[in-house]
Amino acid sequence: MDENKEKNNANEGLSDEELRLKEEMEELARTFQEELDKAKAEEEKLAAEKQEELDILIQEIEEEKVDEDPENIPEDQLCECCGEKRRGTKDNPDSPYCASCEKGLRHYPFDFLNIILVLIFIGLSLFACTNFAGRIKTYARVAEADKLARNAKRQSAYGAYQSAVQSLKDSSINAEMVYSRQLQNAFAIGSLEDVPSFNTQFNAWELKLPHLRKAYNIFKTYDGMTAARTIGYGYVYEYEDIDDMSKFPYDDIMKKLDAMINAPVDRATIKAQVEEGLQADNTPYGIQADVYDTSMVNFLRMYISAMCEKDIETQKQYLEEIQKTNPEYTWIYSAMLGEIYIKQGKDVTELCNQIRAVDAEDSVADLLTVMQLRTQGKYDESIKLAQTWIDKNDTYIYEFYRQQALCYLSKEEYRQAYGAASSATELNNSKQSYDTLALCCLANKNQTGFDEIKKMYDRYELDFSADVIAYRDGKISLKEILTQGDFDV
Amino acid sequence: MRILYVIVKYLTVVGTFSKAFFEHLSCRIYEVIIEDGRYLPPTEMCGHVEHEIIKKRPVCFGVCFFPFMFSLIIGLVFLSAGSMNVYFLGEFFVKDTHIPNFLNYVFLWLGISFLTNLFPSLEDAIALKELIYNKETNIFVKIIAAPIFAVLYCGAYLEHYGVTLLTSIAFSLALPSIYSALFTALHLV
Repeated sequence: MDENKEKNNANEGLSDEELRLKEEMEELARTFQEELDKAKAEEEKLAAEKQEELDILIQEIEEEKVDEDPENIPEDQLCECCGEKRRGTKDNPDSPYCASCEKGLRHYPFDFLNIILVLIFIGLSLFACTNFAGRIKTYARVAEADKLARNAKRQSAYGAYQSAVQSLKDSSINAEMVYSRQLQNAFAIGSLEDVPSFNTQFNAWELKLPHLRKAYNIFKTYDGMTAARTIGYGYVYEYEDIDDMSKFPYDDIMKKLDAMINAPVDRATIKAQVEEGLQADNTPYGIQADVYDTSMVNFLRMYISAMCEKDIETQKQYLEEIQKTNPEYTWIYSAMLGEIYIKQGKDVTELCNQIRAVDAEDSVADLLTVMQLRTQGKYDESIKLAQTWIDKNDTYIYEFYRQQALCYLSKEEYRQAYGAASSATELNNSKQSYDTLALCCLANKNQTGFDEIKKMYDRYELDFSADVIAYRDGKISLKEILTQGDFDV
Repeated sequence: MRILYVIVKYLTVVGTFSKAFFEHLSCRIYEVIIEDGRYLPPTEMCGHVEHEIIKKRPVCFGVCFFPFMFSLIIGLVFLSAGSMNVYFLGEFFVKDTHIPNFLNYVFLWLGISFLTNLFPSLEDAIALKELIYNKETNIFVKIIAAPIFAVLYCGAYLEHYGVTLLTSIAFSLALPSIYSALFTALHLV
């Protein structure tokens, strides 16, 4: 009561606001006092705990001190670590260590240098991690190109490698193994013109080492091919002014070519040609073949026999020789050999499989299939297959159009045949294409079109094929042209 | 055999050292008594710390497994960078120079080093076997622990005869093919 009274007296004369402020201040003081008391109590408790721990420790030390004199302890009872105190602890009396040693060994200290070294390794691993992560896109591009090459999708791999190599260049990465694989892919599709561009990609001394052996062999083969081509064409160029092929010294040149098989390369002649500017000196890294490339010599033999219009068997013999020696060089022999087989009515399935095994995207395999289907009378299948490559705008699109034209002629759909043959001649000026178009003109009774082609032939002093002339003269039917003989115009 | 073991350990000294360090760390965490804290003695304990025989199963598993895991992670990181750059890309030299790209070779060697020194000592592996595969252990524990235990146990034997150097080199050669397949499967381009 008195307290309240005093309070009331003290509050007398104060405004409401001052009263509220005073109450708040008193509340604050009370809270502060409570927290202070709490903290004091906790501190006292902690101090007590610490004292307790200290007491235990002192007690332990004192206990140890009791039998401190090591001379009084039998040797087999001494601590294995310090050799001064009695072994065994409270928890493990059989321990070979005294209590303090055991405690120390359970927290065996790290050498500062060891910690630093491990931290360096961890730091280096983080750097390796960022290096790897930063290159993932490049790795992926290369992996994609490798996969395409592995699956014999050589044309796609060619583009993929170019993209991957660009990515490597952008990242300033000197990736010799990728260049090697790119070179192998380019060579597999017969892109010989690409080979000299690899002249700066490798270290010359490194090329003979096992990991770049394939690249080395390609450079060596390339040189053997180039040398054979240079020397072989050199024989032909001597007679380039001859108009009448019957005057061409076929036998002499063939003898010279025969002598090139397994013969050492005539470097002096090549050097002279390079100096005259007839031949570029683009042998990568100066890697030279010991002998001429046999496949290229066989190709030259076939080329000259075809030029001299020798029989088809002679040409076939040389192409089959290449197939036997280097079956992977499908880019040299497959198209011509396949065409000869078709003309002879031979099955080309095996050859097509061989082409696809080297390059699954090589349109020659399907071109030969289109021809074979046509000769077998499966015109619709042939037209359909040809159309897939026409839609892809393939390199041989003109030939696919021409084959379609021949199919339409066989089906007596002359208007479509004329359209397809026109497309073929728009894309390619070969005589075979114009002969096909002429045949289509005759079948369509389009004399104007035929005359236009004849005018052009006269201008270039060319003649229509025997089949076209025979058909024009009514001596042979379309069916006979397309289903007999060489199945073509 | 000990000479071969020590030679392999010294050839892969970084991995040996780090493995011993991680084993030391694990022992400290589990308060296992370390009797000999040297990391690289020319004995069969090279790359391991000599510790008391562990009688608790989780502790034994931890001392065997965690150093293995740390070394595996770091080793894979080094080997990924080294193996892809050297074997897959063929980045033997710094671009437009004749200076060898030492960093790639260091990564490769570190990767092989770490992966050569993954496994516990033979004694630890045998102790782990005795602790896990006894009558008292629950069958589920035995089944769950089996794959990891098999790796640790077989690895310990291989490491004891120095074979892990060959396996890690073989793995480094195979790694580019693994990544190559992975990258193409993920269609990263």
